[in-house]
Amino acid sequence: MFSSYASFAGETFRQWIIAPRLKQNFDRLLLYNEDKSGEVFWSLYWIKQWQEQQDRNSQSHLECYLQEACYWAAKSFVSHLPSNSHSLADCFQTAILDIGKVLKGFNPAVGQKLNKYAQYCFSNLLREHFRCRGEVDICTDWALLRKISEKTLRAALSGQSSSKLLSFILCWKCFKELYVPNSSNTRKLEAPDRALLKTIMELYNSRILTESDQLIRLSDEEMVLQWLQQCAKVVRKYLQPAITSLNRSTPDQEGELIDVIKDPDFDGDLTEVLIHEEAYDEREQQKKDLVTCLSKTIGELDQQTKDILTGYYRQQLTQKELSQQFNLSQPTINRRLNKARQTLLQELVGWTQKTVNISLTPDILNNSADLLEEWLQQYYGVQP
Amino acid sequence: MTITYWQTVLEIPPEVQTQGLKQSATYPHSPEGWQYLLNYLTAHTLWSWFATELGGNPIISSTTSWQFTNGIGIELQGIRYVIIPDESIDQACCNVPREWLEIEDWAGDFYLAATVDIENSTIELWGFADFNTVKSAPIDFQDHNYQVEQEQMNCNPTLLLTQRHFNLPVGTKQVNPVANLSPERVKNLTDRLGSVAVIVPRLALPFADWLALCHYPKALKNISLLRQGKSIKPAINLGNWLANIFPDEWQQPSFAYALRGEEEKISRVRRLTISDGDNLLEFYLVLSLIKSATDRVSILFQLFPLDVETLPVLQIRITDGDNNLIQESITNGTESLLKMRRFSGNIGDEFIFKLMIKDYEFIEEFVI
Repeated sequence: MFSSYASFAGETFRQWIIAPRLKQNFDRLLLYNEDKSGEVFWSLYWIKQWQEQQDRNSQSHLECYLQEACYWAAKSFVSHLPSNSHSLADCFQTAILDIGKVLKGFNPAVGQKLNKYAQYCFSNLLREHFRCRGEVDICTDWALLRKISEKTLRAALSGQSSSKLLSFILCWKCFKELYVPNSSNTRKLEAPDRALLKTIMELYNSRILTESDQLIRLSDEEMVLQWLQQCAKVVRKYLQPAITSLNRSTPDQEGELIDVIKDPDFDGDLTEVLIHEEAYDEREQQKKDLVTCLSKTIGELDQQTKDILTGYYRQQLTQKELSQQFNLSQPTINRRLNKARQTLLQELVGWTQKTVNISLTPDILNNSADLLEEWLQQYYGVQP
Repeated sequence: MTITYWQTVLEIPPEVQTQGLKQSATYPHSPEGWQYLLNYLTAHTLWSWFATELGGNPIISSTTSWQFTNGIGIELQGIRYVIIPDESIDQACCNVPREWLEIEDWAGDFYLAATVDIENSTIELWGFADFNTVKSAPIDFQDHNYQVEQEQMNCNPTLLLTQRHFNLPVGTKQVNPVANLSPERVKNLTDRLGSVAVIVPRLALPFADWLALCHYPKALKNISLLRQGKSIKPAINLGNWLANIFPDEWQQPSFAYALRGEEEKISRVRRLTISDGDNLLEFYLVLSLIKSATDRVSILFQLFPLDVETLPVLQIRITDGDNNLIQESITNGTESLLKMRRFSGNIGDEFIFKLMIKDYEFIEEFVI
């Protein structure tokens, strides 16, 4: 579970491939911790290691562990895409590349199970990734430049010299400031005309006077056009990366695996892991207790809202699919879903306040929302 | 931070889109028109969302900045929300203009990030943060924005509603006062930025000067007028009133209650016709002056609805020449008249009267 990778044959899962070095490493670790067993314990152990050291070894073990969560997220996601647009393997690969984001956001102290959390995150990341990618597909270069953030442009331009990077970014900012689209079509935009390029150049050159002296002066309109075209090209490439083959070698086949077992006596380090394991047990108990409290509230919702919740959580329909099924606009479906969640969340918070006498804070509210979302997925029987 | 992502997508009503396009078309400099449009669509769509979700009567504020600065402010039940629209598809970062944190009247308790898709008539709210979170974000000194990364925000705006439902305490915000500008300096800067040769007014001055200028509501209004090729309306000189010289739009009141009282007053009334987007609203604004033996002049404003029983929800702010608040009042929709507290000043003092209904602002500048 912590030392093997999924392998795909075409569209389907083929087999687990054991990574020998990871297995060897994990076996050694088990030798010193015979009494520690179970998926929850070891997932918390590796996440603690990763969050403290951000090392490649713990990430590899976690990558192995989360293969299954990623597989289920990709499988569910691909079922909502038009057939043949993207394969399960593509989606899986896209999602697993973002494992760093998943691991960074996990908080072991709240008692969530890592694989459930990761599956939810992978689903969100896939949705976000393909939404962006869909936009990139339909936007012209000029529309794309208007629809990206500076953060994305910076990331796409990484590798350029500092002076070029800063100059390109300022030029893009001037373009974004001055290029006004047609309100009925913001995605099929034409190249800026000469007059606009000249204004962009003037604005840029006026601003470099007060900015860093590293910035390159624009000499004519053609130069503005070229810079912007270069920006669009790198951004498109950055947002539509080529998906490499999934059947890649395991990450520990090259380089030395640093021995993670520095000291066989783990008692001190593991205390926190054990505490988190207890938090997990508590959360599972909480979810069981919630059945009575929340299923009554669900029962009191109107029939259509109940059907929307069932469609969303049990049948895993997207909001777009739900809007077609119920003949309602997508924002209406969205509002109904959120209203129901809000009602349930208020009920849950009220129940918690009665059960545990602590004052409500934004953090408790955030945790309650996470707990509710997990509960809804379990209640409606989400796979696996 | 929560990991739960409950997407919040709002529909821009067709009439809001039509009105927004119509109003933004009045700005001859098209980037300003586009900025105005983004702010207009966000303000009106979010106004309905707040009214539906939290009840009460939200008030949209600072509309004079809509063509210059990204973002809009909405006040509801004593909490101020600042919404930052953006067209980016990646939702990686929310860029909050410094004005929204560094000018006391503008600063919000909460900041919401919104992706506006004009073509599909939707606004997606994708995150929120409180004042102190935004304030601790790094500043991009090129654009003078606080750059709040997605990871710093709570990406579940439904939780903001739940926080308000449970009345969770709101953090305090510390905003340093902006510098004061002399009237001559305000005029000089206004004239400079009023020229369309200045491409981006908010970035054309040292930023501290821009912040100070934003503090004067009349200044942004005047810059806007100049950039549209219109002339600036001078302040109404109340000294002339004492000599019985009145501007045409301020008439002798024909109704009794404005003249009630034992003191000798000079009272004039102005009829205001305002569209709040759905209806045409009419009011009588009565201004009374009482001159004392010490040469100080007392001033009293009263607002009456015309043809209806009660005033709608509205806000009146009276500030002095340096934009310090003299008084403000908000109606709750049940009052049959709004009588402001009497205040006094010396000959030569300036003050600004501002009436706000939804996104409409009536601003009049006076000099005693």
